[in-house]
Amino acid sequence: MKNFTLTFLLSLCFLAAAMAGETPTRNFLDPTALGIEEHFLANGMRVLTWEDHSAPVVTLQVAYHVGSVNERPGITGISHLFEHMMFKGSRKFGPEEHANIVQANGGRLNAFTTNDMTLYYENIAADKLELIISLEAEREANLAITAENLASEREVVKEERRMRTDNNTFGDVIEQLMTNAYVAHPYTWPVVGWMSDLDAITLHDCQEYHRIHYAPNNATAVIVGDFNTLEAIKLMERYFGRIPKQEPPPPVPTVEPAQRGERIIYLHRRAQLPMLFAGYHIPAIATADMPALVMASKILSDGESSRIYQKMVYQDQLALYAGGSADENQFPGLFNAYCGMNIGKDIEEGKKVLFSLIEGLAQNPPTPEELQKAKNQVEADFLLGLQSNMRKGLQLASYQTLANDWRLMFKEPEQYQAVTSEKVAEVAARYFKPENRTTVILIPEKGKPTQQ
Amino acid sequence: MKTLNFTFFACLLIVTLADGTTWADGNRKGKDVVPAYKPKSEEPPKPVVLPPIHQKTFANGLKVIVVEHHELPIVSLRLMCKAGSFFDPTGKAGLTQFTTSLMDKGTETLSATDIAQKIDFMGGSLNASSGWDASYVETTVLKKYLSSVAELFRDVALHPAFSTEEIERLRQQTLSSLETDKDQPESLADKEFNRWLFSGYPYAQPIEGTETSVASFSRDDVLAQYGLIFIPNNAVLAVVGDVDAETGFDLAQKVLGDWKQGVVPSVSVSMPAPPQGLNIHLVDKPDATQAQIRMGHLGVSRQTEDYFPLVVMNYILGGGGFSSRLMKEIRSKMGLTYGISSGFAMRMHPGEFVIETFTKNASVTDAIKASRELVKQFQVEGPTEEELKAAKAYLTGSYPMNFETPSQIAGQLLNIEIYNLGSDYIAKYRSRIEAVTIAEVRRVAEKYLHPDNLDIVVVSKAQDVESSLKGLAPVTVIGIE
Repeated sequence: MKNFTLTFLLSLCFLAAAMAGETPTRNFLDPTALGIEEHFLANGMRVLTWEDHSAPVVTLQVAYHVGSVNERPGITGISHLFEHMMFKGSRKFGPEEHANIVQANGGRLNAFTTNDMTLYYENIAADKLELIISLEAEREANLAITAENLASEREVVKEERRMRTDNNTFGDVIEQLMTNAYVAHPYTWPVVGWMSDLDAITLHDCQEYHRIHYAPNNATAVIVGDFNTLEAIKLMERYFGRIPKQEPPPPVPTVEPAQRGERIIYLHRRAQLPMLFAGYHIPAIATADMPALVMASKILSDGESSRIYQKMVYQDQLALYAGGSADENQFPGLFNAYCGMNIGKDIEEGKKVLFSLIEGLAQNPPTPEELQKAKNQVEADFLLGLQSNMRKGLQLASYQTLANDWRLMFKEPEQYQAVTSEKVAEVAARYFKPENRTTVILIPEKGKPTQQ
Repeated sequence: MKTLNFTFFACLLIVTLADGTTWADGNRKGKDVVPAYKPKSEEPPKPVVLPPIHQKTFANGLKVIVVEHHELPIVSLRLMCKAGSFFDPTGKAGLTQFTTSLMDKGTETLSATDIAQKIDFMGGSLNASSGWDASYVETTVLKKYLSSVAELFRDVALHPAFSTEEIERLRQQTLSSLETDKDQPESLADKEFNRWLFSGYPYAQPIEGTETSVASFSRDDVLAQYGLIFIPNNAVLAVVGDVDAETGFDLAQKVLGDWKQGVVPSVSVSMPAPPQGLNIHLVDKPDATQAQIRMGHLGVSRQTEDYFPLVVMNYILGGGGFSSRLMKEIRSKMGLTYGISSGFAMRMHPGEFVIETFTKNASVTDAIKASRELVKQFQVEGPTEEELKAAKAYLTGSYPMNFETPSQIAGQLLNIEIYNLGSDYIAKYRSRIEAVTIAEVRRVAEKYLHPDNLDIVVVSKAQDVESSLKGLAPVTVIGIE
């Protein structure tokens, strides 16, 4: 039960990295040949199946198309708090019984919430598929939360916030980046929520949230592993099929206005060494510039031969770590840039070098060798992403939920291969510029208490 | 309130939907639209199915394991030398990790940047690392790059340059990294706990070293440590992925077949004295709004004859996530933390038993007291039949999930090698878990848990928590620098 903010999104970007290339890889780019099928239950629930009989195990993932982006001020953090409540009992089971039953059947389970999605999963021996389908259906249809459960879980989530954000320099800086990079769009508030909102969320808010968002027509179930597709669909129909569909949730209407000038925030807190997190606004997933932005991130920061690592970490020894990556979000996200300074190194120097490397991509486009290296990297990433059922399922669920197109998982690899050096320079010129940039600089102070 | 526009589907069971279906409202009125699951008759879990595994020992003593896994065109090479940071010389904590980190930073013929460019161009990964009990060189690439990576792998494993320039660069990096660690409450807590519990023993020092030790490393130190650890007659190479046995062994022969034997290292250190009574070390982090807590004592080595009862016992106590007693009580019931767990660090030598958690400053004593009482009560009561059954079902049922990917399979096989667990280990794992009885769980809980003799570390704002902690046990306050 985690909440993933930027870190998760960073990793999604790597999940998303993929490629076509010569023969062996091509076999892995055809969803039909791989045996992936899409089905719909009568109530609108989408079911994606991917048989893989190499090990006697199966994963079930249920992704609800709801995240912190669907919240409003006053109840920020409710998507994630609600994810916790999904473990607190239903008509047939008491608090935590869902988890106990799964574990007592040899299964592993968890859930996570992002800005765009809430996903629940069980990984278990293949012969327990019916059990976990019944359990996921049970908590979708019959969740029974109480004021008492909410009271204790609210405290659990506040501890989670204290751990991940208030008492963690990275969490704190990333929260400041998001909240300053966005002035209107809901990406401005943290997935875990503001502390005051965590205190204010009511039982009624949770019930409404469940009613509106946890409908079968707002969910995608993904099953990957050792099972028979026909039988699995019958089980899905049996357990999920009678859950009534709902009115579609209201859309997120707010569009982030174009940034009209550089924003820079100096965050003063107790810390040892300065660091910087910055973001340039970029488009959403599945838009025309995204493949070139992903390739830009590879050239800038994938591996120790990448431009940022070579210059900042290796040659100049300015930074302990440094890099950049493109969000692939449902709504326009950020191209993230970051560096943490070595002892005695000036953060203003780090900032200058980091931004000149990123913004300089427009004037210094990738060399043919750099571009081919990036294409080889995305090819390998794609194949490595097919090693586990869990990872395969997460990719299908994410592409479906964020881009409304699970097939994008298999289209992006070819899109990456088509990216040219000119295109990388073009998107760099379009997005990597100071007026489109928000920067948070951590200024270490001794003796500065954490903001509550 | 809700729309029930519902079309019947051919193979759907007949449904009557009541209007009164309720949603998440705490009461359970209305028709239940989700049928109850009826478990089929209990079947024994399916056996763990392993891909073909081939083993051979070369003339120089190197053991080679080839695991054929043809699902994807990917191959990994993982070299494991059965000596790690436990062999850091006195005063040179962190030397093994420092040494392995330098291995891919230049060889006799290639610079660090050459190596990075080559492996990145293949889209692969190549790195060297170490833990307490072993040191590793690993690479993963697409099969089409296998012969090019083999050369690179050989060069990194057998001919690292350890140039003074790279030594200085890594020294600065390591010192900066040690500095940033001081911002992380989790890291501060772990380090203080180990420093105190294992005083005078290798585990007392951080595996990555200290400012003093890292400052002292010379090139001769690094060369000596490399020579001590990297010898074929104390090593295993796993070749895993889309290769057949012959190709795998040929490749291993080409890469490491002419590697010269050395003397298998050994070291003997006596264990520190166990904690007596309850004592608290409070690391003062004046900006903390949450307290990180570690409480524990000395534990057992991986070779303990009580391994299986201990695993079952710890699952019930604090290793079993939501099903553990600690999680049920301290998180689910009391809402004091987001996470709490217990565990034995089982390595070649006895590691720690530790309970880890965190809570807001105001509830630090409640969390410590409740956890300690829970352990004591568990020793008195022992597990219930139901808890024992659930623990065994989890441990046996989830076992196949440790063998899903080639990398997991390699990890499991190397683990058997390093701790000498025997060639029948995987086959017998489940029956050994099944054989654990309530009496055994009680016995090991009694024997290996010592809730009255605990070293307790708290990282928090001393001003907020010191006086309440003093109500529990004597407190020593420690600064961060």
